[in-house]
Amino acid sequence: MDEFEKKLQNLKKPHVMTEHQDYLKLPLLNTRKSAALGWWLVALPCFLLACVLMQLVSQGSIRVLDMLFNTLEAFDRTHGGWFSPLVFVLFPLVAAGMNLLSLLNVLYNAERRELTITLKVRFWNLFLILLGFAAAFLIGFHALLIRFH
Amino acid sequence: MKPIVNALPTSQTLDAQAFGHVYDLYYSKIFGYAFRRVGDYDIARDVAAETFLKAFLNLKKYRFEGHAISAWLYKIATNEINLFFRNQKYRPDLFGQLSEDMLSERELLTVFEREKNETEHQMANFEAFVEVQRQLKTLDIKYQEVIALKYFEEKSIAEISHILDKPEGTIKSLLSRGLDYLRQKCN
Repeated sequence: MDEFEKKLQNLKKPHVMTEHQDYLKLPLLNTRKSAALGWWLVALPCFLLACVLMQLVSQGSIRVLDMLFNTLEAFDRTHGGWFSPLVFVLFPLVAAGMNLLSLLNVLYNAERRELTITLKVRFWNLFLILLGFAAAFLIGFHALLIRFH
Repeated sequence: MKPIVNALPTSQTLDAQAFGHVYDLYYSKIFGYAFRRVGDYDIARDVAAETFLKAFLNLKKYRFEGHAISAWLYKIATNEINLFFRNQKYRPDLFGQLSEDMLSERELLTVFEREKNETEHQMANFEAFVEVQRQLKTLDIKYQEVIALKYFEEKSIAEISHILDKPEGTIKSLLSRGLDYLRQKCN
């Protein structure tokens, strides 16, 4: 071992004490839950929406889908009709809202009486927002058409 | 390392609770490693947060195979630091996923500001280290990582080999060549 290596080995190194990790721990441990919830809230109605489209295209010839919708209809009839609107409309709206909130930052400057709203551009969040609103709008519109037809 | 290793479940994936303990035990170490490599409080904080977020999101991929979990964390952190050195516009995406409300809290911003000031103030006492760090950053990344792990983090060749996933012989040779280059720069 030469002098230079000895110098490196005996080098006085900075050891930084930090506290900020305590503030980051909880949000970090909740990240996965929020992300998973966001996906499920959109995935479930999208899956059912895809089933509706497949049934329309196949003109009701897929038995499994027939059974699925009959079960949903029966469940709705016996439980006050809240399940389908919840899954098809409310879930996608909640998912879109959650994703929108994660991108929005609202700052109010009282001195200058200014409200600054910024929207972060993050592909997957924007995709989920569009998907959530589109799913809720299309299904809601379809349900209204059927009801008033 | 032994007590920490023993406290964790073996041959299983870690759950969120166990990860919480890992976070408490290793956050400062990983932050310190990132700081000694990049010499910037903000980047080191981003690297440390990103390391633990990535580790947490990939817990299922982690299998306890007899290596210390610290090696896995150092490996993620090293990759993050390398990303920073390869692209100076390093903007960790996962760090941005943390709640915006939480990050804009005045108290936390005050903590960040205070720690940053303290760190910068403290660095005035480590002139020799700062000089070595400055010269080290001019070397190729493959030399930077082995030298930093060996002399800044005081890791053994075997530990560096686990962290960087390279044979011990390769580590020794990188270390030897890297030291030659660094010696020339420092002289």
